[in-house]
Amino acid sequence: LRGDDGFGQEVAALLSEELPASTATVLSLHQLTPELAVEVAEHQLVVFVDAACDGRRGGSVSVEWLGTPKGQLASSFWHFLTARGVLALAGELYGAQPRGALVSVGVETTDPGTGLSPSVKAAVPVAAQAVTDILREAASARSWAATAATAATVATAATAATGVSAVTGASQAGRPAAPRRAKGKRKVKCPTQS
Amino acid sequence: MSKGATSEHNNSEIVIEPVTRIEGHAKITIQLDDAGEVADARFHVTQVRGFERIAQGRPVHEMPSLMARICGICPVSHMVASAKACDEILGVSVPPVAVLLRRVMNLAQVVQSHALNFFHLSSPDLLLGFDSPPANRNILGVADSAPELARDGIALRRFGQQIIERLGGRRIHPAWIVPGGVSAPLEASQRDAILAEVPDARARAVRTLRWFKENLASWAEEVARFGNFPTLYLGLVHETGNAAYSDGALRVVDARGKVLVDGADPRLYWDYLGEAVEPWSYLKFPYFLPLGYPEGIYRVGPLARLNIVDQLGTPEADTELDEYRARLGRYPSSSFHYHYARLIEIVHCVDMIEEILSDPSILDHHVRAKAAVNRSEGVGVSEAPRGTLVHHYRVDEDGLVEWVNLMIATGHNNLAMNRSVLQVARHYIKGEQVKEGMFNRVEGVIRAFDPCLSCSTHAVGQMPLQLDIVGADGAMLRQVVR
Repeated sequence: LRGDDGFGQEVAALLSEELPASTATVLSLHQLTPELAVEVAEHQLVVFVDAACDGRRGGSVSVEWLGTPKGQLASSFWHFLTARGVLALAGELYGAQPRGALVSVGVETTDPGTGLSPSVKAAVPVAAQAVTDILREAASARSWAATAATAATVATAATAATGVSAVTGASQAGRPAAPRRAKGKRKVKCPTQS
Repeated sequence: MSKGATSEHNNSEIVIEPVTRIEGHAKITIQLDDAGEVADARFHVTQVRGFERIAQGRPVHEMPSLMARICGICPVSHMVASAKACDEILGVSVPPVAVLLRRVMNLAQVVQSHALNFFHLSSPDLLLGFDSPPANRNILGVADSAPELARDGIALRRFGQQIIERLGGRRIHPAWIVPGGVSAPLEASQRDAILAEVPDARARAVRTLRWFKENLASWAEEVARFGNFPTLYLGLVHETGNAAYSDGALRVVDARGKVLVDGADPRLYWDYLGEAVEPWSYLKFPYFLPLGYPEGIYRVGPLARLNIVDQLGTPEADTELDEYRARLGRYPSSSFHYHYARLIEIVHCVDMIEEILSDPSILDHHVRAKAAVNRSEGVGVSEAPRGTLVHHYRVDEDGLVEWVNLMIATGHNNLAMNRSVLQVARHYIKGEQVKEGMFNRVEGVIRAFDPCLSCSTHAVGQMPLQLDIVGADGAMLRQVVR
């Protein structure tokens, strides 16, 4: 319902047709929420696909590796997470260290309405190919050949909010990590397992 | 403005922007008097409503799926209320098993939504403290300090989401709830998979509730100041007096428990509820019509539901409800207790899911009644995680939607949220020199209600929220942006 923000779901639909189920898991999501960390933790590579409201030319596809997730999520938290936040949560809670990449496209419009603008629609197969290339390169790399016991996951998100947040997360990749372990005064005791 | 930073200030006004960890964006303005004391506070929603217009001209059969797009967190609640409105327009009698299946999905919705609020939005304040550094006061801070609590939250959220996915085929915006029932029956394998996960979900919910109860005394100050005042309480109850989420009759009680409305048909909501408009917010201000505006202030959602029901209806949850009432009184009035009520509701909803799915008739295959348009108007009312949800449609003879009115839980609570912000601001804010923890408490009282502004404004997408502190002369003193 937000024009080009539906880009991620279109790419997910295309990848679902093209990728063998044994190669990757394709998820088409409205937004990135905390429980996604469980699935992410079960995989070694996660590729996020989303629209980006970052001023770039509509239909322009970019690929960005999200880097080491640990320590990268220290910003305010909403009902949704950034792509980097999902990776960080998977690492913090489940000891996973999946690699993450973000394939994004510049939008022309996110005004209410269905359907993609022509340039963004044309970028759907381009982005799908970018995802496929990432998976192929990862699978062919020696390190991955040794460790790729599970297939890579493609997590695809689509909403205006997630689109902005995911790209924001990516654009902050070069910033120094916030001191996440600088705790405030604890007011209550931590819960314990019974 | 950068995230987490306080920004602008001159010598007569303060702004905090935005209030974080709520769904969507809005603004809080705190007005100071000449002495620097809080004179007034307002919770604004600054985005225009959208979905009521988008729906016009659409076929009525599309409405449940279309209305689900209002919110990525509680789409099922919108689908349930929307489908009920459509049921009335079609003039169908929904098959009994479809009624139960809708209930299961709605209960799962409550579990996952409550889990998201408590564990991921509110627990950073509760666990780390309202005064802890904002950079750490988030889910990663919780994961770092109490990983088991964070894992419990994720597991409960996943439990609810997986039920929705199993029933609806997808976890977000499933198109399974349709006018006349549901689109497909439940398979035994799906039922068994859900039931197998119930014990783990229940254990995690009970463990979290125990932790909350053990620490409740440490939040005494917040309990006293977070929207602690008498109001009416409104919601749906079954004929038995048990909690109702997908069906039930309207009940309204006052702060002392006097029943003002009982057994009322919620489809006649306009007999009981009025909607006031203020020029500074797009979010309307519903009120209990017989008492007028603003005296007819009421609350909905977990706190209200626990106050209006006789009991919840499952043994473990009712034991918890008894303790809740023993500790807090029969009609607790602090909005801080939304947290406590939310946790009890998670336990109850998990139990109800198990109870409904254990009925052998749940596998019946007659799950949908089909009909053309037989009426020009329909109203559907259900309980969303945040409170009572009303969908009201009018259609033309071809079944195309002509008019839509939505009353959303966050809207019902609008008066109470405004009064709560004022109460907290008056206690914690003196002049423009306000510490981060004080601002966070102003935000925290809003988070207790778990407002969903995407829902409440029916906006497409999400909105930012800011907090302004304004001097007696109207000039901005301070503004904070997350």
